Amino acid sequence: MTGLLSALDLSVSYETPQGSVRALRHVDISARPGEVIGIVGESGCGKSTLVTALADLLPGNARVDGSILYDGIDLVGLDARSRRKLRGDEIALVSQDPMTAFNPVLTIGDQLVDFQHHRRDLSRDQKKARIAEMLDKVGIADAALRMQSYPHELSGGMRQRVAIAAALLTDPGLLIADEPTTALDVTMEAQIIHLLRELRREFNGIIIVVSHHLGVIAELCDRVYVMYAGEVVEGGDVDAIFHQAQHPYTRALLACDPALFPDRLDRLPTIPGRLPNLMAPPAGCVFAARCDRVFAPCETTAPVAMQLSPSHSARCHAVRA
Amino acid sequence: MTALLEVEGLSVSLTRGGPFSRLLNPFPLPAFDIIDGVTLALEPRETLGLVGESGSGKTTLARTILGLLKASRGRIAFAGREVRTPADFSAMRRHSSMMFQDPVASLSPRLRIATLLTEPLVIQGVAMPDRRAVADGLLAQVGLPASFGDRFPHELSGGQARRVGVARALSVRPQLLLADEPTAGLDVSVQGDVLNLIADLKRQLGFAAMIVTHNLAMIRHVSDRLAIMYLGRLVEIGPTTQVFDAPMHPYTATLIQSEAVPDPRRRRAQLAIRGEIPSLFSRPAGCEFHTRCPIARDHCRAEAPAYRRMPGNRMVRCHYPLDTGGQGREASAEASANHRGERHDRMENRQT
Repeated sequence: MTGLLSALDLSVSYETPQGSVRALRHVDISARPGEVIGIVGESGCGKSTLVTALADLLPGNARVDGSILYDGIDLVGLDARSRRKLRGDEIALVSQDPMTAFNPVLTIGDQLVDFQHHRRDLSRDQKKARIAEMLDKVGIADAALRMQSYPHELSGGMRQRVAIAAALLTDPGLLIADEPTTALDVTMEAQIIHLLRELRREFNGIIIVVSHHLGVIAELCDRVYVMYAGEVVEGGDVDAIFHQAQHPYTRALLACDPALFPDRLDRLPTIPGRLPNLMAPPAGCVFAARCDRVFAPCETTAPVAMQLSPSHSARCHAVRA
Repeated sequence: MTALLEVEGLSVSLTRGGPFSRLLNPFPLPAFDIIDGVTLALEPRETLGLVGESGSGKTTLARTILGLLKASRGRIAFAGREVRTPADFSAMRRHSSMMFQDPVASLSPRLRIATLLTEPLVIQGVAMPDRRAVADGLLAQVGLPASFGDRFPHELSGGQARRVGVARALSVRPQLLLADEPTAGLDVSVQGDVLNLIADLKRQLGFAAMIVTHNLAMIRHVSDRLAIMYLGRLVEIGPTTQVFDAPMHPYTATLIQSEAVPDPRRRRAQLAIRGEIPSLFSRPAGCEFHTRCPIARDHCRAEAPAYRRMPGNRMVRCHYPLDTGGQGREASAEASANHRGERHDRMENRQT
């Protein structure tokens, strides 16, 4: 099954003894089957909260408002049993450190068989045949041998490949990769990017890639959402985000990446200031305190998302359609 | 000008097996090198970037230089004097210091920042009439308010913890700063802050720095020279701009090409490199990079290349260094003709 995914006016807050942390506020995103969506932002921007909400894995102290529609079904209002079924059958997550995704005392083969528990129509041998095929597809040689291995016997890059294979074995409609290359070296990162690109040709569901690394997002995604302090500040086609960014935060973020400057800089650009306190988010624009284009309404009125083109929007007072 | 730090043929070996297996086994497994024959020099006030993938031995090298690990072979000299005994190393550490990789883990969780900052001075036996005033001065130097002196390490953000790491490393007024992954785990907007701070203090205090990192995009802006490591060996060393413009070692070239470019219009269709860094337990024979090298030949599989001095103050460890296309700048046409001739000769030798 593949379907449209959309989050409408989605807010998540974590209840803590010190008060309520409003980690995600009024987020709207959408994705079509076949698309690769990038979610980019720095630590504390809410990107992990957003994908954890999409994967329905938020901790108990989280309160969710708004709706998450997947193929017409609202995940937020759903009863626990149907939610669990949807999560297992339709939504797969590849985490940052695949070591923690696997059970250390079971072989890779056993675990990959378990990942296919929903396929009641297949025998164990048939499942093993599917695994061998899938491991081959993600670039692991000697699949039969590797199925006998334990997770600690594989290198980081190899484990990430197995984690991707595991996710794909569940035939998901939505594949979420949370910082899929952050724990890897640059040469392995390039290989995982290459692999994900190859896989998307056959995969017709939605892929969501979360990263703080602008390079990874630029290499992989069709559309990008930029997040700051719990809000989506800008969204658009990858080319528009990297070449015609409108929101001052997106521009500042791009200007900070040393990879964009081929010539040596004496001073590296930074974004002065710090993130607002999410227990009491500012009344106006979240970026106002650090913005270089701040003017009268920014401090007091929260900007609405301005539609710049059918696919490009930015949440900023200074932006005109 | 004499070099501040000279490292010659430095190797670090590990013996295999635990103490018991070594006791019981009359024929112990041979020791293997995790650092092998590293030679480099650092001038006063220079910044050297030490780059490599995980497992390349860059952190081990930095720790060995400061005497935190024992070298099995080779020579280290600091400010013209050979460093050999533990006493030599501790004297050297009076003038050199290290910023460790994990800034929070390297600060004792039970001590306040003011105490942590002045600890190196206490260890070095420097007289401090007013310890708190010294701590305040150090905090001011890295742009933190004096009130931070009362905080505990867990009360700091990642960027603040780095600043404290910088302040502590500089408390002894070192001539040499070794910074191990100074920006790992920091956001891009904060990373620049820490690096600008180190650059400002470098200008002001005039120390030399060795920055250990795997972040190529960052190091090209902050280092004067670059040393590339692979599997415990140095494969290339040279001025940063030249190495980026025209890498000579195929590994350096693939490393540069592997970096994800933050521009969707410049997506790479082809993979520059496949496979992973081999295990140190089974170092490939010949050139250690031949298993992944796009231009490896039979000769590379048989014989390990030696260091070769190249024009433009560069060194490379490769039988077939990449043609720099006249980009070696100082390299005259004659030098490159020689170089090609040499390659030709070797090819002929092989055939005979």
